[in-house]
Amino acid sequence: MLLLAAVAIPLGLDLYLPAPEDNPLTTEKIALGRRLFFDRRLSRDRSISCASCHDPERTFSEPRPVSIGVDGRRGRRNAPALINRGYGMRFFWDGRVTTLEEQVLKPIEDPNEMDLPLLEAAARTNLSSRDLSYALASFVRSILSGDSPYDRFLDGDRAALTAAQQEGLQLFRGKANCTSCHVGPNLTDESLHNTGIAWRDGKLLDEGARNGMFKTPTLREVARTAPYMHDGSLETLEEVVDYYDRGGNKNPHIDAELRPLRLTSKEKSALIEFLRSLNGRPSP
Amino acid sequence: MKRVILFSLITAALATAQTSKELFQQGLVKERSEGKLEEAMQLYRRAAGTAGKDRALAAKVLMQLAACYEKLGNTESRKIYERVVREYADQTESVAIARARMGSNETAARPKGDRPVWTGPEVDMFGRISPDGRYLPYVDWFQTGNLMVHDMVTGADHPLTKNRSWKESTGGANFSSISRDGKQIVYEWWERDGADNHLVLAQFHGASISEPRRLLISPEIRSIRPFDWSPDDQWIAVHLSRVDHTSQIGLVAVKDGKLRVLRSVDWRGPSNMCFSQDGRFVFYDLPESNTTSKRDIYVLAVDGSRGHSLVMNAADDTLVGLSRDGQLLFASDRTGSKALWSQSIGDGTVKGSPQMIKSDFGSPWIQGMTASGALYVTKVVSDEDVHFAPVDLAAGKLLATPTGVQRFPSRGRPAWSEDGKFLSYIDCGIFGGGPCTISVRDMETSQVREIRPALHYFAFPRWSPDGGSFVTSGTDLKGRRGVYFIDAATGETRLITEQRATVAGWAPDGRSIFLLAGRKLVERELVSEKEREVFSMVNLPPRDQARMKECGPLTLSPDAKLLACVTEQAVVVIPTNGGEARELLRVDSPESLVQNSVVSWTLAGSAVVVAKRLADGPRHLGGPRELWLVPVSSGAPRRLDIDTSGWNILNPIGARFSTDGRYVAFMAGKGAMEVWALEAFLPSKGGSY
Repeated sequence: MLLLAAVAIPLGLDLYLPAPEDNPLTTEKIALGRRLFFDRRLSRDRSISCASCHDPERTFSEPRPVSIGVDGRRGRRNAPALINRGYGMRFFWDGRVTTLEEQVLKPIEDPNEMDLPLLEAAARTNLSSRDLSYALASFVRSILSGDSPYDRFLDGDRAALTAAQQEGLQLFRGKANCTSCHVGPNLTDESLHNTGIAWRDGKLLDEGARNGMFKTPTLREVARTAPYMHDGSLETLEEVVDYYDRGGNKNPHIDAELRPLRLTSKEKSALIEFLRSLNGRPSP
Repeated sequence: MKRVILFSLITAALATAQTSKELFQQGLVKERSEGKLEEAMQLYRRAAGTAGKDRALAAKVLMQLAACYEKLGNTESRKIYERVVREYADQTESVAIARARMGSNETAARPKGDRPVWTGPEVDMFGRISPDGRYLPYVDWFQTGNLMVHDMVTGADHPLTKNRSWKESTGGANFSSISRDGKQIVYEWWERDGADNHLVLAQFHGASISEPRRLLISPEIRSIRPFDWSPDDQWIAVHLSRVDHTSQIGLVAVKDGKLRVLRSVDWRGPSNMCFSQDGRFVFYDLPESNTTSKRDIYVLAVDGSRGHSLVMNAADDTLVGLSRDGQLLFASDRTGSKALWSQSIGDGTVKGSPQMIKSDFGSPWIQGMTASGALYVTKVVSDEDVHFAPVDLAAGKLLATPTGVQRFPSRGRPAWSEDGKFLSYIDCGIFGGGPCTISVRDMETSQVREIRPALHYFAFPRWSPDGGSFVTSGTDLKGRRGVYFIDAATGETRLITEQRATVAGWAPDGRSIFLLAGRKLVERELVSEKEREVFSMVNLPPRDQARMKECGPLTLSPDAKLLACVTEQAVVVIPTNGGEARELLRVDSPESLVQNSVVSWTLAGSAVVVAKRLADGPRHLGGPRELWLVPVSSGAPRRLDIDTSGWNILNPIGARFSTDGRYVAFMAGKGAMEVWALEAFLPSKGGSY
């Protein structure tokens, strides 16, 4: 584990944790961001905080398919796990935002989520909206997961993965074609893909970025962050693997990487075992 | 092997009267093996004076003499090039190179320090110049796979590793870099089975190494390319390619091989990396995205605390290095053509605006900078081109002088559509590493169109029987190997199979393809993806199995009924339905057959054409060759009355005859790489640019 000035980088992640020049990571900002993350004053009726949907006990995700905002309003999509987002290049399921500083303010203003004008949020916290943004972004940037059995295996500890997990890793990289999108230390290409999940019976239920394209999520901590997909429509890893095994939901814009995998049940089990090895030691 | 041949040449010369050819060979020995440039030049002058009517030799000798003058920074070279162009117009290869050299180096006008320092078939791009400018490591790709070093002072070449030959080796060297103090060298060593590629550190003594030790090895890493050493020689900046084909920018500790990954990127990789003068930063370039080859330049603090872009522009900006006074040097086409630029930097950030310091920089391969600030680059000097000509195989003659496609593609690899109406060839960039494009020439209209498949590299696109598509093995934009289908009209690309197989050909109905994986031939239906084994070596009688082991790659006949195979001494065909192998042609040593990767079937599959070497010698140097038409079922093999001098048919594809036997296509011309030393190019140092 390597220590930067404000955050410890766990095994398996890049030593360079990107941060904007005008918002370098500091322990003070991370601490402030942490307080704000749990601060219910940031919702209109003071009922919810960021942590309400990004539960630290569930590696900053939530068990409901879609989030419930103020007044019980239902969001459109599943709250993604806030793991290693400091390495992210686009944010939200549809990738519509390119900086964490911009992203962290959106749920505060979103009518279906916290529904609070930024000026009001700033007034309630005696901070400028810029300070709010920078502190929250710094805190999110500090949420890192690494040092998993998978990382230790890559680092040379060949006993860190069980035989089944090693078989699953081979499938992950080979027959199951997972690494066409889930690559690199964070197991995501940060790109948009149409896996067909937004299509049902030939109908597009959610446009996403375009024609049902959504960003590849990280697989770090994936065993702890059910349900899955942008709409939380798949409840278990087994369902996810089955979904990809049949090649996704057919649609005119489906990604060329999607095709029937013809995995055996043993192979599916091994693949799931491997996915469980991605649970690390989340911080902070 | 090379030394034995050279020794033989010397003794032969002493034993007989010295002809101009012998003098020339002696000169080559003096120049290349002994590093005695002045003595070599004397021999070349004598050889040129006695060449008489052998104009080809005379031109060759003069070109070699001019190259020696260039190594000395002497402008006499230009006069000789002018003489070659003026007096030897019939020697087209020599004239083309002379013109290229005059055009590219402007010998008379340039300062003394800007000169080619090493030319020859051995030149590659896999090493970085030593800080004192004396040594340039490279790889012996032709004979052994050894890590070699070229001594720029003596001109001598020395093996640093101990492979005896390719056949006996289990792997070979790859990229390498010499430490700042010149006492250590680090190099990548790859293994033939694809496993355990590793980084080796050794003490470097100029002509040899000692105490090699594995510095970094991991089954998770596909390749490790070392670039720059830190100023204190404690760290090496590396580019890692992971097993998922993604790239990482990292540092390797010289002391214990510990890896520090600074930044992960997707399928892109740097073309160059270097440390800042204080060792606190690493500079590198990367393509702007994974859908473009245009690069920008970035910086990372070695402790990971900072990172950002330094040179970001819509243009293609590639890192060159750091000048002696610490300025960032980069190549950019922001003004239309590739120029060399300098950018002041301090504390890892840019200061002021970049300045153009050399307008005609081109796109050379960067081989590092010396401590004195000299920049070493490798340039491609080539007029190599795909040529084609109508042919009468019955008469065994060409019907017209071959025509060049005027594209100067790298790789080339010409292929005919089944009906002979289209000629395709490929271009994989100046240094041949991709990305690749396919050009298709309509033989009736001479129109050429370009196809850009979504692949980074491909080997040899095979036309479908209806001419509507290709299949080829290759790697996609994410670095994944496989067999791919390419629509010949749109370039649309799709994966057929991830198998590591080569394409043997199409079924006549175009519904399936044949793949060779190891020694098995498999037919794969394109729609149903069903596969069936057609042929396997293990089912052959022992005698045929032994013979097939000597074969080059097997090539399927157009009707998919026969596999052709060429050994060094024989052409063999074997039925795919399991019959006995038949020998169609045998040659006796010292003659041998050229083992191209793809045998040229012609005359509707009733014959193959192979190339025969008339004399033994280093494979890559060619030598006299003949083309032979070898019928499969009736008739005796016969020599074609086609002069192949100047044809480059020792490449994987060789000469390609169309299925109907009306045309032949091949590569011709000279393709050479030259290492150049560029000095005194910074205005602040009194340079001329």
